Amino acid sequence: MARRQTGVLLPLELDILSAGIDLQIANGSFYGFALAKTLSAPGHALTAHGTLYKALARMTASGLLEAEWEASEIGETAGRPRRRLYRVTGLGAEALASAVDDAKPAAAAGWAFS
Amino acid sequence: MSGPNQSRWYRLAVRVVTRWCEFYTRDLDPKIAEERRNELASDLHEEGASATGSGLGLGASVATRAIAGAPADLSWRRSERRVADREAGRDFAARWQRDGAVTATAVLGTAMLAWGLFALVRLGIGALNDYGVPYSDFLPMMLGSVVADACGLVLLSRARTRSLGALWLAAASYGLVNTATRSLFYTSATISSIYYANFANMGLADAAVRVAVVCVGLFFLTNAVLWFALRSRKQRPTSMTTGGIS
Repeated sequence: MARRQTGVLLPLELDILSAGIDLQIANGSFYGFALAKTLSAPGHALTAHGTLYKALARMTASGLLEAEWEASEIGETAGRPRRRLYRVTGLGAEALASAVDDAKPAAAAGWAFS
Repeated sequence: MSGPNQSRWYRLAVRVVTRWCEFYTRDLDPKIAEERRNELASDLHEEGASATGSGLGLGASVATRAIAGAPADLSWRRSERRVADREAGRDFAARWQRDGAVTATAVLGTAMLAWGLFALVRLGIGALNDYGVPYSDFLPMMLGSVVADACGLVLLSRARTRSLGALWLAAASYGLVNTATRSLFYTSATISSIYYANFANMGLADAAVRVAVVCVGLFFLTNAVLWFALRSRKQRPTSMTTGGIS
């Protein structure tokens, strides 16, 4: 299996950043299951637990996301386990913008050939 | 009111996925392990709470997500252990090699068991159809080897008895590789056609079985010796201390 290049984001990571920013605008932060639901197309399977939480852990460790646990009282009041809340950092937003910019010339070349 | 998250399928899936999570987070940094367990518990709850379909569908969705994510779970575990080992100054490569050897031994032992059971089933079919197989030549050895292999796999699963498990597998390998394969010359049309097609094939098949017996047996024996040596080395400082005191 080929190793990924340092600094290159995987498609799932780009999707997480993009969906995460949308959820963050609407709710201030996002959590794993909400993200899984947003990432999956209607009628399709949700992102696998291992894949999702491994990517979230990696992105948090590399500074693209920041994470904190919701206060226990909030979860208790709502009658559910507390959520781990994520936010896309400035670095994450920059990385997404840069990846989108990099993809533009390729898309333009695609149009030129078509 | 009973929603899909009250169904026994969902509860069963949650129980299995929680157990799986406990398994792959075992002996990791307790804080990291607890965070993963809590995050998964939250995800499982949220999926149950937001479900609208049937209980069976919800259970299947939870199980599918866990199965599809299992390789990533194991890969995450490995990277967490690597980080912990590096921080603790332990030799990760040496431990990985040892763990890899355990996996290879378990896989080979399981494959041998499957092969032995397959050969036993074919012997049973042969008996029903009166193939004229010399059962006394095969049956005792194969049954004994299947039991020995199963015992070996159980012993292999515990670090304390791992070396002994490899020895049992080595003992079982003769019956499962040699005797079981030879019994198939009588009970399998495919194998007997290869074996009896011509004289050269017979010699080649015999040689291949012998080489396989030696290779498999040596593999298990080597691991048995290696694990015994590793275990003795681990215990040595304790016994020396005890010796000094007494």
